[in-house]
Amino acid sequence: MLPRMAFVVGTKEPVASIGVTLRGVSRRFGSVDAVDAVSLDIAPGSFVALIGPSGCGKTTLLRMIGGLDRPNAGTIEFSVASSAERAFCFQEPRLLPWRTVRANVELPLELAGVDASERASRAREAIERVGLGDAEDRRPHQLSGGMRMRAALARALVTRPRLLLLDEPFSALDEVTRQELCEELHRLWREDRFTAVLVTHSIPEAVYLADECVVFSPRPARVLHRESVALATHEAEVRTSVPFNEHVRTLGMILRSAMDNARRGS
Amino acid sequence: MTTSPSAPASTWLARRAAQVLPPLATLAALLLLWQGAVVLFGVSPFILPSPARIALALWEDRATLWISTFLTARATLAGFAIAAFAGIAIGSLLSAARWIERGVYPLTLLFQMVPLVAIAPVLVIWLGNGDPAVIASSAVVSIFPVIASTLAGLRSADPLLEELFDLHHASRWQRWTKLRVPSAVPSILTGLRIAAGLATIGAVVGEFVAGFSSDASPLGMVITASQRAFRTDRVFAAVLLASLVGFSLFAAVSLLAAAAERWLGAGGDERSAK
Repeated sequence: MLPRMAFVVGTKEPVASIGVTLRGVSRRFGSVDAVDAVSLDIAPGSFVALIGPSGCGKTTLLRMIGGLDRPNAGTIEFSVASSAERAFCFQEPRLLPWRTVRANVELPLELAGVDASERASRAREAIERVGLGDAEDRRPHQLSGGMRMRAALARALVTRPRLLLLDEPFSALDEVTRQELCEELHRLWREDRFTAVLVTHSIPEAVYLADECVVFSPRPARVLHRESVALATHEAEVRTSVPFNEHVRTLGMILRSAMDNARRGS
Repeated sequence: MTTSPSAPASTWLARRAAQVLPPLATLAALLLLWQGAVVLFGVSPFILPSPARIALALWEDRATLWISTFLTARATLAGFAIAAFAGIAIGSLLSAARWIERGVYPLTLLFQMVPLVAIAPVLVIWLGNGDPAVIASSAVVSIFPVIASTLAGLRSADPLLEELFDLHHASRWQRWTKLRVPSAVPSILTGLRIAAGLATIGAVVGEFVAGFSSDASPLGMVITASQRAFRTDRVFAAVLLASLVGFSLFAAVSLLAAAAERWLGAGGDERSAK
């Protein structure tokens, strides 16, 4: 399948987003193959969702892209070399419990040695963007699960990343909060046009957010299928539209047959 | 979990009373039983004085016992302070290098099993009779839990948060000050609470062997002197006062711990506070 390039063409971008090229990336833990020879092009400014059954190795793949793990074989190349422009949003909010929302959001800047006044203004901006303006002086334990995830999102955005890696960030949230946060994440992506790579096991979430869905096989992760998604709108109601549900159905069938094959094979 | 601040004061009071009354009632019943048994069986006050007799001894000797309590409290506080500061400092230094920590941490656990009060006589040989030996005894006995809890606390940071710091290429110093030290606070406070009780034991045992009287004697000496004078009631009175010293220190450290835990954010577990 051809890598999609459409997004970069014609958009005026103040800073280039980072593209990622994976070639034959493999990762094994002891005798377990987690990722097997994955090759993938992620175009700058695109939103790519990695879908697959739980434990298939897609998180491992994301962690390798984020520099938290190294492949045993293969290469991962970035169109822009600096690692400082990558941000990671984990499955858990991972907030420091003794810090306020503002201080948590400032943490990446603090660790990068940004001075206090710039930290404060950039943190405030990021907090406003995720809609947490009223809660910036609160501690994590005083926040709902959705608000904690928003804080984590603000902490990822505060570094103004050009590549945002998301590891099932909304999987612990209830359905309504989850959809709300998806809509906000998509708005943030439309505004900033960073490259986004999302690991999820929710097909509707992938179809809503991504312009390209990549389906992985059960462990070890291999690319089974790539599907371009071009929704006319990202209003909440799009989830009931025919094209949206067509994509969900197709991807669901591919995933299901892959899992059936794997079960028969083993 | 915690009482919500919006709850009416009457329910708060009721809940507090439900907490405090049962142990108080048990204590009163035990004292009554004690008093009754002593009177009923005509136990000699030399063997076991009745609570009333102990109370009388407390009252009659209140002037000297007050000074004794003050002397013991002062030595305990000094010993505890030394143990707290030196313990946290030594614990931090030991965990600075992975290889030192690996070599020393198991030993600190082992050292906690050593009955350190047995060292008190040696301290007298080194420091002579008097306050320095008593304070040293208190500090030596109470320092190991502080060292061990500091070491344990500094390695107790959430691995998921450690990974967050990896991701942002945090320096050793940043990781230390922004993650490991705040994560260590609850553990260190637990160590300090244990040390508060031990500091009192260390001081009293120190006074057994190293106390000296110029004008007034500390509680440990009151105990040994009263025992020699067959004044069992005064022994009990002094033990009671020594317990009070230990309890006060423990309560003060616990208050500090509660404040610190509030600062750290309700136990720190993000997911439990849904």
